[in-house]
Amino acid sequence: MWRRLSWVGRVSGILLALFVFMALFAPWIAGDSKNPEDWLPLIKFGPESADIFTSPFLAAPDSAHLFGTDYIGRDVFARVVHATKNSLLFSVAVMIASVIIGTLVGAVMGFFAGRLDMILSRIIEVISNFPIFLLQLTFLAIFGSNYFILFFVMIFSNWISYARYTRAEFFRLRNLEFVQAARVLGSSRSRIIFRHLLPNSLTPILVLIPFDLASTIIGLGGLSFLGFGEPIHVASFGELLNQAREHFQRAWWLAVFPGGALFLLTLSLALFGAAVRDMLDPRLGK
Amino acid sequence: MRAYFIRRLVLLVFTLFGITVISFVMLQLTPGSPLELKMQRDNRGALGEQSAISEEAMENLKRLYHFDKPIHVRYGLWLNDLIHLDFGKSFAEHRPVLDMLKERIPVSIAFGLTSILVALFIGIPLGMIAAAYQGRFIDYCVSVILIALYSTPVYVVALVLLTFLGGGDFLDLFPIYGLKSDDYETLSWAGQIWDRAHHFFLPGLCYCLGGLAFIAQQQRSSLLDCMRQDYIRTALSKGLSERSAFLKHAFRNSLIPTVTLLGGMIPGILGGGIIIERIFSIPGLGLLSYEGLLNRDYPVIMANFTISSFLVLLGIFIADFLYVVVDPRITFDERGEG
Repeated sequence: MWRRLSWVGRVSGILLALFVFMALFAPWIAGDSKNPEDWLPLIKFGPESADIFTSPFLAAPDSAHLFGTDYIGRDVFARVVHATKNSLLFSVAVMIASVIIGTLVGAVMGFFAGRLDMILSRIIEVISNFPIFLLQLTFLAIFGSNYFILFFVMIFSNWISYARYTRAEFFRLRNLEFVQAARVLGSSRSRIIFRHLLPNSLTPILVLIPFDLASTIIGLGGLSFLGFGEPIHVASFGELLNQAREHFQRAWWLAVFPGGALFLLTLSLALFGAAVRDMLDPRLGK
Repeated sequence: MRAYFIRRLVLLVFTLFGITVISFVMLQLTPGSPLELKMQRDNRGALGEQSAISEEAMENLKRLYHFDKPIHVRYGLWLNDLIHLDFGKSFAEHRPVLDMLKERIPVSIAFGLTSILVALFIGIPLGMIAAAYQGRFIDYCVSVILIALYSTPVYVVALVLLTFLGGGDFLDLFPIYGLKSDDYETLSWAGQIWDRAHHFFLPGLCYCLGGLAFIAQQQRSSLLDCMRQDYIRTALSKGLSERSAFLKHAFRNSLIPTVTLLGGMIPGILGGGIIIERIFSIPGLGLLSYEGLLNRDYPVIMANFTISSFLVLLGIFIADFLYVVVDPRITFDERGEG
């Protein structure tokens, strides 16, 4: 695997691994510690910790606060680390749910074809014509922002691309000999779907995952930026960047560091995804 | 042709029906009906603490606004108004939503059209250059830049531009607010044009980047696809130069999938604008929907949903139309099957 990856793919893969590492070990990288002698956490500020008497508001980056502080004196570095953790975890959860729903719907469409496929295709067509971002914003504005509703609105249209790819793969595979052989041998429908068809149609789904994660992270950031996404106290890229909007004339670090981290995260996802796609799909080979 | 239009009409009706029913039901089921929210406002439209209105008057108002009727009847009434192009009156601004839309739509169209034109006249050549130098250094640079542009959230670009060029601790090159300066009226006509362009630049840039990267990437891959086709091999083997095979045969055919994607950019006129218009305080449709949501201004929200569904379907129509125009082999009926 690694040896067949292009150098861009390797660099972005390493960067991505760093982000994943940062997300998994966020509490040990930046968190409140009772005892200043401990070497963990590395940064002694949690994402929420701010003392109105001692922490400086909107302080420029220095040796204590690597990325500066925000408008109520919270450490921006700690918030970026925890924002990475929150948005990665959330988008992975959205991705998993979308993959499950999308492949199941796509499998049903591709396997049974006919009228069922036609009806579901029309429903998908109608949903994919919805102004999704506006719909998401409206849902969140009305029902309030909590993770449950956020999860629901993010999945609402996200599963569709997985369903499309799975359906297309099923249509390609369904009349091939190994499937017919399974049928003749008397395999049940579910066995044919889950044992024969699904494992053979996973490549396009796997290729889609990094791009899907990137777009979920961007969408989530957009919702939070407008104040309708993640709950307001949670460390998130959108919330940090919204602060950057309010204080852009005095606090460049609020735009540069969270924006840069978000950019690197989505860029490494996209570049890694493109490299993996080129590796898995020989038709696009040089 | 007839079959095509019937199919598209059915899609239009179902989409419009789906989106308006969802948003209508959603808005009506919220805690505190729209009417109660309206009644809590004072004359200037601000939310008051308590509803200062008697039960009886409230009942009368409910009857006036049809809130005593079941939800499907109200939806029918709303639909009836819509057919007469009546979007109702804004709760927050106490004037017809249609008037507000009339002010906002030209702004959004200006930005949307700019981004489509930039994608067309910069994105397509960029994709061509990358494809022409496939596998070489230029292709590598262009491809990486395009992926970077495409995967950068537009709000990050906008905020970095704002921070560094908007007159904070760094350069003060561009205005940061609205469409024109406060002293716009006093300027000469050249000054006015310059002022508009000056205000337009940063938000316009943000509007363009995503579409530009998208179209350029598509153009690159579709051109590479075309270069692998048999007719190119035929053209080369009958002695045509690579240059003219590329420009005359591959390029023309590669435009077919790209041009049709431009139709898909039309819904972005509204959807893509919300964040950019919020950052740069541009009074377009995007900002209108954002304000509508903040104020729970239901007629405005419903109008926005209707307009954006229309834009999506307009985009599909234009994409189909372009498909038939650029590719004479395809007829409308075949497109309708898709």
